[in-house]
Amino acid sequence: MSTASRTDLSSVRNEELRRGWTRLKRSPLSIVGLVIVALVVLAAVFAPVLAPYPQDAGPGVHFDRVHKPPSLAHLFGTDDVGRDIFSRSLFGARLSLGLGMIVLAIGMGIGIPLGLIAGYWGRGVATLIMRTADIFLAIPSLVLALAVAAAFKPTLTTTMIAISFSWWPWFTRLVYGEALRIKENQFVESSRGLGASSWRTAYHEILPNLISPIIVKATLDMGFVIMMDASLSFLGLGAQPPTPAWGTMIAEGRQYLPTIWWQATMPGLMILVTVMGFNLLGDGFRDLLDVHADIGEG
Amino acid sequence: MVSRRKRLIALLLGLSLLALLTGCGQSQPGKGESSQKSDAVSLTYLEGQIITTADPAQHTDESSMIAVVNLYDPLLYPKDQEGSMAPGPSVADSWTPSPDGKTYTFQLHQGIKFHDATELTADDVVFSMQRMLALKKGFSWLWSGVLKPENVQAKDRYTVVFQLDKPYAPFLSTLEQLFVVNKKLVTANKQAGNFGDNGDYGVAYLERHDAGSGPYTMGSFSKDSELVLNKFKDYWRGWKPGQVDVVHYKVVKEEATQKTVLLSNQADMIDQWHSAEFYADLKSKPGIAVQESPSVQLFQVSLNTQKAPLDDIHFRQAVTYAFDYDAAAQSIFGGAAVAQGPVPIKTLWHNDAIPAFKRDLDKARQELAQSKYKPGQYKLDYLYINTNEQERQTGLLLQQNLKDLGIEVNLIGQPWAQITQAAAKLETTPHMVAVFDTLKYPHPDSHTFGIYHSSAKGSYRATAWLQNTDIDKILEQARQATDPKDQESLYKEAQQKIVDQFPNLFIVNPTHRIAMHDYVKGYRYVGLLGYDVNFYDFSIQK
Repeated sequence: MSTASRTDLSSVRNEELRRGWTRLKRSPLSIVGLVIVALVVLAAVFAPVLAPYPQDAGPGVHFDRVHKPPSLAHLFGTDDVGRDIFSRSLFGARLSLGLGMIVLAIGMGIGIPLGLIAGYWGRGVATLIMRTADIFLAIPSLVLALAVAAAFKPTLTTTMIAISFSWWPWFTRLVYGEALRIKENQFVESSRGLGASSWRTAYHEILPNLISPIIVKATLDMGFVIMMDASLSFLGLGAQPPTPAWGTMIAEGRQYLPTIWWQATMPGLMILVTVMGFNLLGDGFRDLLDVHADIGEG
Repeated sequence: MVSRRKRLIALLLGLSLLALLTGCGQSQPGKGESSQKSDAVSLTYLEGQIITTADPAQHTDESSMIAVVNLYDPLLYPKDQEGSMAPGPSVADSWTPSPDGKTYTFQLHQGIKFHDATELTADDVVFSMQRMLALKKGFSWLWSGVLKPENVQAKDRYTVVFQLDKPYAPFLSTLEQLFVVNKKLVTANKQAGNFGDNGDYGVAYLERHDAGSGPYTMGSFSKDSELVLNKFKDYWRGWKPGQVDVVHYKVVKEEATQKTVLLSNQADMIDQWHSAEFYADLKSKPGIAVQESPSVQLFQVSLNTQKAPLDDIHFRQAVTYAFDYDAAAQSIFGGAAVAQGPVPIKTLWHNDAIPAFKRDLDKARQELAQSKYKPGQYKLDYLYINTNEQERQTGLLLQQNLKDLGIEVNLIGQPWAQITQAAAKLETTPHMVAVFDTLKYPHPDSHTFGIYHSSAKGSYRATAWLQNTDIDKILEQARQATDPKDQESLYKEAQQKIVDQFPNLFIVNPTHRIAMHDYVKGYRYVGLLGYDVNFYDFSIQK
């Protein structure tokens, strides 16, 4: 009997996916998002191969080619010590995506179990966990991240820890809300009725139903995390020179605006396009997976 | 659809409201200016840092110095008209030192009026010095240890006598930092404080008011936005037509904003803290004048002599010879002079025998081979102000140069406040700190005793933490020598001894640049921080 219901369920899921894909296709913006994200990921992975001047991502100065405007030799121009901005932007993608993934992994690693515990077991534990999450949410995340980053030496690792710190409660809240809703469903009750342990019920019955909203939220959040990383490094609290972080590159280049417009604008465009890509893709996923949950914004 | 259209309309409304508001904001000051008396000459100067204080016993940095120079008169004023920083008459007309170099008698100029119309007398000078020594802030370190408060006395209404504990060679030069406050006014406005009968010595009052005799009075003052200066009609040096009546001394931190505001004629002049490239760009614009002068500033990178591996002199030498000074001078500082030792080249008694350093990789390798440390053993931390382009670029150049020796450098950008904090203790001082150090008084003592004597430790100026009894001894002798010839040779010897210890990378004496509209006349670079922006010197000739 159980095998029969499984196949029913999977065919229902396939049908849902098919409908979702149709919806996704109808929204050209989502496709644009998908293409952008794919390009940025490719750029990040193959940065050392694609970059025309890979050594410019490391220590080094070239005073003979300072502030050259964009040209074929230097697609994005060169910066105030003669480094190729295009090459640095590609390596910057590596840094931003890597940081985004690590932050979200930590955020989810802490947030999802806590949300599940709070949602499934409820009562005192839930109050404790959710109020703690509320406290973290009450502090604006950029301010919290600033405080953590300023308290320690400004490095990439501190930035990462700082952002993760302010990110996990979003996942806790999402998972908590969804778990509360799903808990009341019949299949959960029947699972319990069949004698499954709480752990098994939470892990095998509730969690799989949460995957869609989590994927959507993670995709949307990727853009926000990249933004926040850029803001922190713009303020001088992220990666230190010569690391090619986008925020740092803008901070360095803004002094030369508006004459040397390319030094700040090019990494700025990289951020703009990447964040937009993730947001469009996230919206697309939302349609695709038919998620109605309140995802919230980081 | 309807809701979307509504949203669009709301958005448009919101945007137009915003446009209306900002439009009003822009047009208002314009209207205000035109409705003012049209014959009042006004000048707007943009400053990149906050105006830390206008109290003449607490000023240290450039913005506070400019505020104080315009509101107060110093006992002695640099002979800037002769192009020299040497002390000349101001509040004091003349002075006579005693033969033993310990007693100085000053004759004051008669008839100087404070802004409240009381006359400036010897009592005010005595009060100003005692207040300075009691507060122990700002430039009080110049006299602590050589002058006791009770040894400043008014002999008569216009005569002041300073009795020093011991001969002190740079004494006259330091009096360019002694600004005279109105004793009566400050005493009348004192509040409860730690200074006995003197209460708080008027510290709270002078935060928002002035008590000076200078060419301008304080119109309004807000540390992080603006200081408005109004012409003091009865100023003792008199006024000529064309001089500036109202000064708006404004804080604008962003470099790009400063440039835009200057070019759109909303400001007349901007400060000196930008890159050579920035001024080169401005110079190419019609109607903008950029003044360039060799400065008495030293840009240096300290090598912490008490932290491994830089505690080894051979390692310090390796770093010293690996750095490319010419590249820094040409490409980062836009054609500045490579420094020759710790004292800026244009300073009195600079030791010209000290050569400018040059990159010499072979010599650097030889020194490294003699060092007890291996190149890869330590990573060197380089601390710099995170908003300063030139310091960051120097760090990148250093990183590349030292890579040739196999030494790795970490760049750490921090705000200025954190750098001074890190410099306070040996344990928190990193291997290298980049610092722009301007002459504090027109004397080699500023960049020798003020940086390398043991008593200077803990300041951002002394991050090399050099401990050398030999150097201490020579510097003390130099200060106490009575014959200027002896002083000269001792200060020169001290400079050589300092260079021989390799405590710093002496990088450049940067070119001083400042930009203004070409109708602003009378600007004169003095060398001494802040004195060049005495608005009394300026006139507008459109």
